[in-house]
Amino acid sequence: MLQENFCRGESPIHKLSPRTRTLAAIFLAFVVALCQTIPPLLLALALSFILIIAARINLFKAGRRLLVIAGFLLLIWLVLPLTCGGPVIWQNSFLEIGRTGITLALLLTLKTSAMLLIFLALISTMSTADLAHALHSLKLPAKLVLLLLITYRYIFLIEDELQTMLRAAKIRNFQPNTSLHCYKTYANLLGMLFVRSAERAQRVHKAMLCRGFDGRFHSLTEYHDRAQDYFFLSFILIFSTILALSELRIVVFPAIL
Amino acid sequence: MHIAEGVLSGPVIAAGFAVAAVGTGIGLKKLDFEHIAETGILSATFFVASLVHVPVGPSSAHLILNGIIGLLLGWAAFPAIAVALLLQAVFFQFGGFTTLGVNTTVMALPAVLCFYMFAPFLKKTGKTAAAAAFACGFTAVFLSALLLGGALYFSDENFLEVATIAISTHIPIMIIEGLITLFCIGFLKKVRPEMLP
Repeated sequence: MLQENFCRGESPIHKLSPRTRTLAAIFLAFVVALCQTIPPLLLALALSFILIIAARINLFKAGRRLLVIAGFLLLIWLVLPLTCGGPVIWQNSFLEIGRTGITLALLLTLKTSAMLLIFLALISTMSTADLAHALHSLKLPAKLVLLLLITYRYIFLIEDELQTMLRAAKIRNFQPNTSLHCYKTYANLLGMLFVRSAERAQRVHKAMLCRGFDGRFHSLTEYHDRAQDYFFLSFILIFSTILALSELRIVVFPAIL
Repeated sequence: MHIAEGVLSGPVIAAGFAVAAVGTGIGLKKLDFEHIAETGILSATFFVASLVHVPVGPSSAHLILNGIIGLLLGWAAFPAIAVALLLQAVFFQFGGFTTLGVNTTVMALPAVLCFYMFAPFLKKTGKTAAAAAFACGFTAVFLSALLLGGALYFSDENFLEVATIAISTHIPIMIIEGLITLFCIGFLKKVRPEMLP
């Protein structure tokens, strides 16, 4: 089932305005994405843990979200050390493990985890409606924001509809397997989902016109930037500067690797 | 099919955003308020359909459906896919802000290309239309896999093998998407032909 697990809560992060969190998350994501050395990435990972704790997200649940990238990271750790060359760390008659690959895999693991946790702490802690309004106040085109809001509004309903159809198929003794019949059943099911969605869309559009839709969506909750928002943004800005300086080796931290 | 955050290099991220911005711009320009509810709801359907796992031998794969989305939405596939990807990031942490440009391009560009390549043939009858529908689903995923591999390779040449593995694991998915598109378009043709281009 679809759920927004972390969006309600009482934590310092939840108290920041969605606009502040969105701005901070986008800015941090790009700064971290451009880092190519280990020390700034360790700092970023430390920050991501602090943010997760500040958002009072259960560490076990956050860890489970990390499983999303586990498959990709496993592939990287299996392939890169064998293919990238560099000074050989270990070898036998047909395998050679090189240092370049290990470093690259470690770099990616740190970076991907840090970015995922920052996103989880700052973005997944607000409702998508708040995110949409934050993006609008950050000058994303109004039509795109509207599309985001409508899509968000309907994924739950359509997911429900899909589950109903899958249940109906199951009751009629449909068992998924690798066969043409199975794919045809899924295709018809999806086709029906598209048809029902299109019909629903027409009804929704008419209902929206009836209620005086003029292309704007109004939010029921108003947010204003407060002192804590400016404080948080300056903190992120200073932290990003430290990351950049450490990436450019202007500030050197005690060597770990 | 997404690239996780933190894998792509600066130039690739920038190129992804450039293409996605142009595509989304054209898509939004062609999208009037008459059709915004329809596009949003189809985008939601696309999001939900990608949660469906179909069996492939002993394992399973989730559907991508960008071929069908391209046929149903044309250029509006760009904003629809961008929005669905942002929601996937919010709900499941698949990708994030920095990869949004590249991931949108990877899925939406083939959707629009397939719309132009195959939509004219769908009006024909019998085997031509069926072949076009299969080719649409197949080609959309094929091009997406190539773009994904390219984005990895141009980020770091050391990713060559990883990119090759990523592309080759998509081969069975291409065939399944082809079949699903073939049957789904056949279904829509019978039930709601006006939805098709």
